[in-house]
Amino acid sequence: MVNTQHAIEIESLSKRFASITALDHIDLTVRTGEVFGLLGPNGAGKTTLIDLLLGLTTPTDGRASVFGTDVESDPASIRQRIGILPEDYSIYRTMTGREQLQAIARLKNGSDDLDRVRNEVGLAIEAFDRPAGEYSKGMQQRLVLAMALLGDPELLILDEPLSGLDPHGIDLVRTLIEDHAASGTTIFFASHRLSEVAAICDRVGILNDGQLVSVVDVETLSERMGTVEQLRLFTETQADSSVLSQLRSIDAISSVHTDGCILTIDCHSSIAKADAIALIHQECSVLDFEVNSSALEDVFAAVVDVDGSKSTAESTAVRGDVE
Amino acid sequence: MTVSAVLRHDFTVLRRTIVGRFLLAIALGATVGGPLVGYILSNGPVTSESLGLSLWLVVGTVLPFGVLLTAAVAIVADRETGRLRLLFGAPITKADLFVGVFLSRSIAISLLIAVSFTIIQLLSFTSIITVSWRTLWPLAGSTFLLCVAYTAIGTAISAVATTRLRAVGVAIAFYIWAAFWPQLVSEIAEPNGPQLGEPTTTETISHFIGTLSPFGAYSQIVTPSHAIYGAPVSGPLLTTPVMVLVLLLWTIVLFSVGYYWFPRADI
Repeated sequence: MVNTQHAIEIESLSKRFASITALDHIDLTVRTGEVFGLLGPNGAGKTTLIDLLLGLTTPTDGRASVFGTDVESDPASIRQRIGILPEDYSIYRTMTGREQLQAIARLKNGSDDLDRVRNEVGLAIEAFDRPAGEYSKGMQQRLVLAMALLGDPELLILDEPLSGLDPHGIDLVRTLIEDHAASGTTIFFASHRLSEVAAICDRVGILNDGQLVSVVDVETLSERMGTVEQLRLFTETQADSSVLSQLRSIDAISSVHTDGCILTIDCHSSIAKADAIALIHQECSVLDFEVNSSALEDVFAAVVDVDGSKSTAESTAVRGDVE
Repeated sequence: MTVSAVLRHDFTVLRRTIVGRFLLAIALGATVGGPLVGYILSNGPVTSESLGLSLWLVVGTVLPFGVLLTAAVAIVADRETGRLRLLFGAPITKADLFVGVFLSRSIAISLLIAVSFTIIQLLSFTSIITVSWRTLWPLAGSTFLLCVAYTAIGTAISAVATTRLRAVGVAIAFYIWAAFWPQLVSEIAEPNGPQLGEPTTTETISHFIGTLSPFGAYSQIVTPSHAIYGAPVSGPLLTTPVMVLVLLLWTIVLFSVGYYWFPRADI
């Protein structure tokens, strides 16, 4: 049954290429106006899922609909309502950014103000009228993002949108996504970086080896798996074994590594970080320190191990969250 | 509407990329350059007969090769580089894309042929070429049909192939087959019969089968038949309308293959 509250509905969707199963019975719903993150390592099936949503690939089994329209039966009308930023793309090197944007605008039957869209993605006017062959990867990414924004799409499908962008570009894209989400645009955001997804999305689906391992709120996932922060301390003298033992005896510290005068400590609480710094400073004099907020990366690693096998326990625990 | 949007898009791309310049160069170079080189070498005006030979040897071989190769990579290159994903962010179907690309390429080559033959027509007002417009423009029409047939073949290859390398490989293999088909048929069907260059006057079934490749049909239209068979050969199966039909069939069949296949293919 068609549900207008749902931007994307996927039922038991599978895709096989000869003997390879790219997607295996995926069930997923993305609500209208939601910012949904699809996480997975390279080769997990994210791009195949996007291709199926765009009607570029035919499913082996199951079905997908976008805004209530079956993708297979009417892909063109769906494409009228979406904007796509693919992961792998190429632009015409001899054509200017303006010409390429104009060409896509014509295909979308749109009457967009190209300079407004250009401005929105932060592409300089001088660059806009230069051949795109002279563009950096970041500028190309902005141009393609501008193409995606043409026609004010109701659903933005972004496949690794932050790749190739400098920190300023990343901030700009995040702001842009937040602005569009605030105005009601549904965002489907595929990435292999959990930190990106955590910063932007409301919910996260974790895809691994063609299977949807879990779908949860970012906060819930983080809470469920615990928060880990990595503390690196640069000391004047090398820590001896008794100091390391004292560190390891702290409950909220899960691991301690030494490399000369550099200590790497995984902490599960802020108090543990403070305790560790105080202890080390007393014994070895701390010269400097840094904290890597890798908590969500660790969560991701815990759910999907590097071998690509599914964490069965987590899968069972969170499958009930899949709508 | 969407087909015309794709057509305009592909036409813009052709105009602004090296593919368009390549087609322009070979169309003008072969069509106008061939007769001019003939004029310089023969030290006399280009006649209807020598223009036919020039079209057969230069235009008939060079232009289809360029048209076939550029059409053969038209879709598959965009598929391989990811440009198709950008295009399919717009409300177009795969069928729209296939038809739009075919039409765009066909129109582009038609315009180039029209310009080339107009230049020849202008040269006919000088002492370089002595060919009447009644002879010239049917030859232009045949060249147009040949190029549209090769465009259909190339676009179909591009729609079916999964990589540029395969598309180019198949296109070159087809081109070689089509070019040597008349001689191949002659060798196989009548090993003891008259060979190319040897006099014969009666039409045989192998003559007709030899014209079933696009190049064979074009050759039969634009050249005096003794250019191919060594002596004038004529008959109901070798008439121009039949050859036109052969070229049209190539266009229709290959266009249908691509039109059927591409919407069902995974991008």
